[in-house]
Amino acid sequence: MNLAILKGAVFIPIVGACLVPFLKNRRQLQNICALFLTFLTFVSIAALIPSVLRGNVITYTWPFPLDLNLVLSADILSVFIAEIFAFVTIIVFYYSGGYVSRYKYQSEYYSISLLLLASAMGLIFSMNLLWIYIFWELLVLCAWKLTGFFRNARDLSAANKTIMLNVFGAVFMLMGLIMIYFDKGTLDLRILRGETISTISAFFILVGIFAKSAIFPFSCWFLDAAAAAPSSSCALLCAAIGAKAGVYVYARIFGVSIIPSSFFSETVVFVTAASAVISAGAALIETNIKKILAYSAISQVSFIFLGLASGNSIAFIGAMLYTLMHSIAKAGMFLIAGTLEEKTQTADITRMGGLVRTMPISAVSFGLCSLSVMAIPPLGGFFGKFMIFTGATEYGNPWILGIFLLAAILTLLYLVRLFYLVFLGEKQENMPKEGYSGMVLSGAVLALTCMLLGLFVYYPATYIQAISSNLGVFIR
Amino acid sequence: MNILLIPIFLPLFTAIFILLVSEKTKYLKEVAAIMASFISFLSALTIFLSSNIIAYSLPWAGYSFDFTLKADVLGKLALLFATGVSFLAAFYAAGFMKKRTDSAKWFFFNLLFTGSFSSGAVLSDNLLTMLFFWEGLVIFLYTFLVFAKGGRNSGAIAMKAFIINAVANLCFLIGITITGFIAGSMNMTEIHAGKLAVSGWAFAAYLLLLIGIVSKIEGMPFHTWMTDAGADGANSTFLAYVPGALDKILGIYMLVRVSIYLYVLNGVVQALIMTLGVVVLLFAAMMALAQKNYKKLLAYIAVSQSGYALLGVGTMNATGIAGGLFYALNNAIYLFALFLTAGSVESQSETSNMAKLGGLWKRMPATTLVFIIAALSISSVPPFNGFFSKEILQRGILEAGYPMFFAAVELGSIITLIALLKLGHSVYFAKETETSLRCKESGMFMIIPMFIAAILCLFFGFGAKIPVEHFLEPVLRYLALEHARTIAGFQMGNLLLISVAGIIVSIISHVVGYGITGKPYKATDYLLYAPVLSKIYRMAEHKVFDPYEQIMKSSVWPLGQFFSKLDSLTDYLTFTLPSFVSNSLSKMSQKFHRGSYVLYMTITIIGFLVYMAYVFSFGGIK
Amino acid sequence: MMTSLLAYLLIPLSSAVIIQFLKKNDKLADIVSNVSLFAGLLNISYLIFNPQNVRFSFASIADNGFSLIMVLAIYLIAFCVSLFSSGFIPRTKNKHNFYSLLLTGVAAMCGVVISLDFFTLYIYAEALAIVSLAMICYEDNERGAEGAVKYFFLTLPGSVFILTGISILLFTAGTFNFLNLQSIANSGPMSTANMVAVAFLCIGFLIKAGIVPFHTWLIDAYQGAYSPVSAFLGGIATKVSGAYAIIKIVMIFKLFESTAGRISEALMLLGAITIIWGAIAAIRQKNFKRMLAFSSISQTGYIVLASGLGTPLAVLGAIFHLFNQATFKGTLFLNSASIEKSAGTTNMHKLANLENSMPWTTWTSIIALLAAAGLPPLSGFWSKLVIVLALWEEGAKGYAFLSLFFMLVTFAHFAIIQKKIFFGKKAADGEKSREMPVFMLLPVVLLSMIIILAGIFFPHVYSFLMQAVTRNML
Repeated sequence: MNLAILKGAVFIPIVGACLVPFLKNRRQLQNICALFLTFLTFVSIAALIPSVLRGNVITYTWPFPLDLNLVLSADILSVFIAEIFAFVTIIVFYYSGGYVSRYKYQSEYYSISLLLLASAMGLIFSMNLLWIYIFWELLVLCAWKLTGFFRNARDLSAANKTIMLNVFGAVFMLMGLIMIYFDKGTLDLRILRGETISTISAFFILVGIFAKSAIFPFSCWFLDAAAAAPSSSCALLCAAIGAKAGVYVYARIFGVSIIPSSFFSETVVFVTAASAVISAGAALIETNIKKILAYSAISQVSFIFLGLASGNSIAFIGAMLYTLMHSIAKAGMFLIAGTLEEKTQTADITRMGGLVRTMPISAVSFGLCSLSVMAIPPLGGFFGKFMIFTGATEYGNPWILGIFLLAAILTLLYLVRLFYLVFLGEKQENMPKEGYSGMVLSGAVLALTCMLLGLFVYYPATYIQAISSNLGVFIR
Repeated sequence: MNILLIPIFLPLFTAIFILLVSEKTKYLKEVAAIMASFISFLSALTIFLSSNIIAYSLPWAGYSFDFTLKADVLGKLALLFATGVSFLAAFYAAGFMKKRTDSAKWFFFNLLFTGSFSSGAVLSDNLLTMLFFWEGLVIFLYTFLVFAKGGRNSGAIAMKAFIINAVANLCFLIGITITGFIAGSMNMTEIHAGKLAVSGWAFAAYLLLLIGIVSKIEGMPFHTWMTDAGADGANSTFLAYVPGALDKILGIYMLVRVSIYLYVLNGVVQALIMTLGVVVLLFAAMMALAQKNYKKLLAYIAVSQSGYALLGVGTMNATGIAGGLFYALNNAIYLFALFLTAGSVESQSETSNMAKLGGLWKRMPATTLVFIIAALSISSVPPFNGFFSKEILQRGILEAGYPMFFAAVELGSIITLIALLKLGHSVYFAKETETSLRCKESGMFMIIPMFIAAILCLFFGFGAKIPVEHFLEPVLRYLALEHARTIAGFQMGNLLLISVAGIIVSIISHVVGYGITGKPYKATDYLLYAPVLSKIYRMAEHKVFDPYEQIMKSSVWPLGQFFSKLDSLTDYLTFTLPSFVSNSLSKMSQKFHRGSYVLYMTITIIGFLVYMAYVFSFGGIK
Repeated sequence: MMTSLLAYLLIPLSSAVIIQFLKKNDKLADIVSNVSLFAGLLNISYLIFNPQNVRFSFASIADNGFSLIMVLAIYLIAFCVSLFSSGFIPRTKNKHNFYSLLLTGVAAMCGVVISLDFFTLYIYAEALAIVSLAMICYEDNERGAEGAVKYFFLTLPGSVFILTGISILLFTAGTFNFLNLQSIANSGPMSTANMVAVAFLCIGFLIKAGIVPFHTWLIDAYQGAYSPVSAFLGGIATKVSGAYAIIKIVMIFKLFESTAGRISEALMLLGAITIIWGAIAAIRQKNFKRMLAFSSISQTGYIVLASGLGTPLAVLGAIFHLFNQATFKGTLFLNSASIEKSAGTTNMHKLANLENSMPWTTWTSIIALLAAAGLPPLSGFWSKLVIVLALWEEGAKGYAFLSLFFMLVTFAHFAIIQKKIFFGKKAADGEKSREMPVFMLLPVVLLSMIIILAGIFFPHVYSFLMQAVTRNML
């Protein structure tokens, strides 16, 4: 039964991706179909939770030559991340019902988004590094298509940038994998568990991860993509699936499977520190709302990496918790940004202002989401960031702590500035009304989720604690 | 159902209820708010009176992050005052908000949430829980300021307030993580078991915590949002409630909690705190002199008051701490009262500009009376409560052996009195202006809270024994500060004489200033144009002493510029440069594909030769 | 000759002859050519993929698996080309000649892959060369003529070298037969003279395969040739006449382990250079077909690199990549042909936004390009992965990294092409373009399906090829 569910979780979206284009001229139907399939995925994964909480691991193997089997296995960690992705995708599809329907290529949008979800699921559940790589590449492909959704030259260049930088990372990743393959004779994480790998291969893999999560040296594609892609896709790429896939892979490989060398972890911490502070600073003077959000996503993901690399379980828990909180909050912000951009016909925050009067619900939702990112209680983000900071303190490097404190302060500044300029500021000539109800609602739902996750943090927190106690996080 | 939960959750749910009811409803919101705050006050009272320590715990965010509440003596006291103030504020607002344009609904929402979160902050025993409530307050500070459509740029001031407090809170957060890390526990009671010595990491932690606390009591570098708000005409009830009373209570509570309960301070830190206290005290008082705006002047006074408390805790001896605490309590009372008078005057005259006001005593006798009492006690005129707290404080300072600071305290109270004489004279006694003609006494809702506050001033003054014995002594005992019995009561002595002298000095100064200019609200101008002071005041006018503006201008934007440059550089290096290189290589390669037959043939032949050479060269074939 | 596969040679040859008698009737010519090729295709695919074989993972295949898969590739591409041309070539151009040329070419290629000795192989290769020559200048304009001339003269040295090699072989080894040669090679260290012969053979076939620096003919030939013809050449013909023979030589003489190490080193080096040069040069091409030509050169580089290494795994990779390249290059050249027909040009600066007018062409091209770039789980990825693994296994880490890294450049080609041709803003020539009729889309769709399936069912492909390789390299 569970096995069927697991297969379903991966293959349902693929089926949908193939199915949707054939509903060409029934636009509403496409939306409903995509929504339904995603919901199905969400529910089916949710059905796995009880059994994985009991510590079971559901595994499905498709033999491949050279010991490169496709091993899908659902354990407590993968189910957690998968649920986050599926949830955000549901909301995004609900939003898209009012957002994308106007544009051409709608069927392409839905099928690619479903493919994105499918490859994310495959990525999450595969236990074989090569297959992680394969789904990773598929993810890149989807990112490329979604970025180039609007066909302007600028968008296509952004799309090319996306695919080139991601593939660059992926090539290095594959190199690292091959090294491991010949060192250890296998790429099966279940066998590699508890092993140590050569630092160079670890770094090769890291390049891939950073390229995907747009950490410091590879951040440029992220911004162009965010500026080019439709906001709903941004919510998937920059907030939830795209950026967090890197986080998951890091957590899976270096968090709970392979023991990273301390030098490696230190490098990660320092690089992410640089990334966090640089992107936060850049966000401070950026005026394109989606770029600001993208910068913010980068710096927040850097926080998550800090948590993962600090190498103590409290930091790991914080990182996982913050992955959840940030995915939802940032997705909400992107969606609302999309509404704003559409209504005001501009993405330039200096040309918006005073919108709280005409779009109160969006304003409040946006405010709550940004509070969550700023780590202000009672929003969810607070707990995640607090635990990450606790872990970083335990990591015991005052400089790192200082840099990340600076990054957190900058985060605060640019988000407050953003909110002020867009919603308070002085009135502009065009003061649009609230958008299509579905779009407003999806933003509000995400904001509310941030709130509830904060108030009932007990449940996610205990779940994640179960992750770290079941899988065991490697303490340096 | 634990009684500790009432003052936290009752206002919270009421607030949500109020948010749901319509703005139109006439009394529903008011009644609900008043009832909720009153009930939570009663529960606080019962908690206070119950002799045993009540505790409540709930698993929360895993690890040692539990939702733990514990009403120890210190917490009880703070809770009592916090809830009391909330109740009075709600009561006052019921009358005050009728006159205002901004949404009463949101006002009560914020008020109740602030009340609930502050109760949580003082009750919580786990550092995370405390941080949760403490930091959560900043949201409602922001909404308070945004929704108080007092001034033109309420939004900007709200942003300023939010940024200042939230940044300070982040420092506070880091301080707490470090504290929890070095103590190995997040539970304050456990940390108290093995107090932390201030050194190394702990020193950093303590400083970070101190930043958070000082910003909470609107201490010196963090006060600017408040004075701006005062000048901008923010909602007086808000000013009275949050910065006037509640923040002081919370801040001092936390200062004592951290400095005495969790940490053991050393001389360095002690000196640091006291110096900070003195600077705050004097500088803010000086600023108060310059003001021509009722609320802004009060705002500066409020800032200077927080200096006393810092001094008191800084002494680290029982008497001083008792004085500091007493100050905190009195602060809450008379600042509250003063801001309320400001509110009632404003609500009648729609201005808080001294120049436009005058001779209100005929039209608003009650307000006048309250003002006089509160003003006298804040400038520590015997036998009002301010005097006794000052006296105890000064004794503590002398015990600690800082005569300089003793003098500073005295000076501070002199300046305060000068400022308030000017204020009182110009607003209530100078000859009437056309604005003051249309004023009449405010309604019952506003009068009653003011009077309660005023009565408390008198009561804490003449009957200073009672608060000392029932509020301060238990706390001192609880904090295990061995001490001779803290004398509080009217007694002839040098201190009394000194203060009397101080009072005379200030009266003289006022008379002189009034004599020079002939206008009461210009009574201090002769000080403002004094050689050195004038420069300082001019700099203050240009916000030189406003670190927020300075830092924003001088460092934050350049930092942003720099980082974005860096970012675009990486963009160039990771994408633009590689693609340029590959393009130019490709261009070069085109030279060889011109389609010329001869060239191709030559290439082929050469290729063949090289290949053969390679294969058959040096030992290719053995 | 493998008599068992002789039918695949004779049938197209005979239908080529028959077609000549159908001058009057193009329709009939279409039918004859397509049917005969399609029949062959069905036949060969059943031979390989009948359920039994698949169940026993191809252990039960009697014939030489390598030849089988080559025949499959040949028929696949040839069928696609002929089906495509039946819609592409207008009546006025005497179609039947094209068909008979095509079928003769198929026959010649089958001859190459089923021959059991070098002489036969050479004969058929030359036959193929002549047919190709004729086909290149089928459309009599000077560009085609130029291409043909270059093709003839610049591959001439190749033929000369091969002939030299064979004649030396005759004197030294005294036989052309693969099996005998293999036994000689296995019997011990190879004599210098044999080595010379092998060296000559290699260089000859390298020239025919269009390896850098002997690639110069290839570009102009592909670009100048009549569009379906370039699909035929780029898809299969040059592979068979060049790469196939190289792999065969490697299998027979086991260069990597015999004393002829230098030759295999030379092969690897040339392969690497080819990969780099082709990939780099392709970036800035203006003409779609020319770009494809360059990128197919660089793909051939992978094959040569792998076969130079010569371990069973590497050879497997080489063969698989050869097959894959046949599929995706076939797709791309056919699509370029249909673009040329509908938009009137293959100049990329004049094209844009074909996705609206020609969705099928667009998406099949995208799939093919991605497969060429090695995007998993498409077939191209697996072949490249196998090659890289083989390289790494033998410690040729530099080469491995290089071939991985140039996947990135191939992705760049994809990025450029998709932006300039398929997506992006409308352009004058993009406007008037419209989608091809179904039976011209059928070939490319079929090929892209094969690309995807070959990727997903990699395990089966792998086990089949493993059989083939092990049987050949005993």
